[in-house]
Amino acid sequence: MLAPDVHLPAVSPPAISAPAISPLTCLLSVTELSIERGGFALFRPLSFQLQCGSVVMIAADNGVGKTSLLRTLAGLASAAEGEFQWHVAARELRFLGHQPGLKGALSLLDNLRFWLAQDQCGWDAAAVEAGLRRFNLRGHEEQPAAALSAGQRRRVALLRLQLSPGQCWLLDEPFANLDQHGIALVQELIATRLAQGGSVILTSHGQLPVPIAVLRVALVAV
Amino acid sequence: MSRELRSVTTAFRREIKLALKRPADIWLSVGFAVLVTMLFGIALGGSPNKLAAAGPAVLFTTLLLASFLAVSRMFAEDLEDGSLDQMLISPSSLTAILYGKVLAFWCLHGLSLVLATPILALLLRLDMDQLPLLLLTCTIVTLGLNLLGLVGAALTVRLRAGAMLLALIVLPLMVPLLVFGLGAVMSASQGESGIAGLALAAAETLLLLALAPAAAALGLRITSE
Repeated sequence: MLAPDVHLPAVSPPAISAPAISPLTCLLSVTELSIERGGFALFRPLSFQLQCGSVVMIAADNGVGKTSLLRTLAGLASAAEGEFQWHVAARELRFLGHQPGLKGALSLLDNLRFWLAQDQCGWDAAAVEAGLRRFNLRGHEEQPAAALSAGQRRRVALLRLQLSPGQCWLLDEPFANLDQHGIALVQELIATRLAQGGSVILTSHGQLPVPIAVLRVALVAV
Repeated sequence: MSRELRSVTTAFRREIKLALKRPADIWLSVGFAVLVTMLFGIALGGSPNKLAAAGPAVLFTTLLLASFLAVSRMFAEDLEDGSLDQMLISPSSLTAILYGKVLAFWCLHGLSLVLATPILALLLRLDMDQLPLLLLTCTIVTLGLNLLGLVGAALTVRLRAGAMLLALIVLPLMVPLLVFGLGAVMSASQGESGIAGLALAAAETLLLLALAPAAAALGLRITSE
């Protein structure tokens, strides 16, 4: 039996004064999960728990299966073996992958309006206005998403996260394509989410560009 | 307004807006239908008798092929830009989003084919007295065809040889609609009422309207990898 590769965090997560494995604060428990592609296991079976108000960082080199793992947890792909159990409703999950899901032909605001409506979240013009300013997107509202840079499209997706916060975020390489200001914004977003009792799972192939207290879960290639 | 209904209308509006940014796609399927009809006309030698006899069959086959071609890339772009993942994980019902999507698709592609039907009928020298029945039948049949296409497109979106497989899955399923629609027009041209074929086509389309989006949603979920 292979031991799960869970390292305790170097810095402890924001204070949640509850026992580590309490069913009330555990949002996700993963047990001996493994994923296959083309008949080959991607990484050694993995177990960890996601607590309320904490961040799990899935760390591995390219090609080990970080994205596949995240997509599996989001319900977008199937697991080969093992199991995972969400203790929050599926509607509380938000997934941000490499592609932010924007329609190139539609304007930034049209894209945002569509996704906020599908997130069952009202259109608060003042909050949108403030968000656009915060994410440095003012002046691009009517621009087609195809004319935005990769970093700007990423910011639109982050703005959607800010405006329709689910309880648990699954972020695939959230710091990719972002400048220093964008990276700081992601850090703030995550801190706000945690303070409101949410949780985040993010992937990264190395060190995070900003200090965030995380439970580091390393994927080990088979 | 209920949540589901709001999801349907937002998805509907978005698809219409998207399609209107690229009207060429719609013109392409209409152009394709006109071209295929003209090819048949030339191949049949242009004799009015032959054309009149083969006309309805040509017309419905053309509609079927044009609908099929339009539907084959229905989810391709959603897959590329990540919208499909977001649709799958969205708190809104996927079925509701697909209702909006397919209805918008029909309003643009299906109805533009219906509007082109008089031109096709002229090319095929069909009896113009039957035009109202023809238009009604085409309206119903194109909706049914698009709903079938939705299910096929959902099942094949992630496959590399998706378009060919889609043809193999969907074209046979389209046969009943072809037969019913053709039956309505044929019996009307022989002086009968044509209501039987029309009613059968309408019944199948209604059944598809009730089931196809949910089936397509299930298809998208089981094929997601």
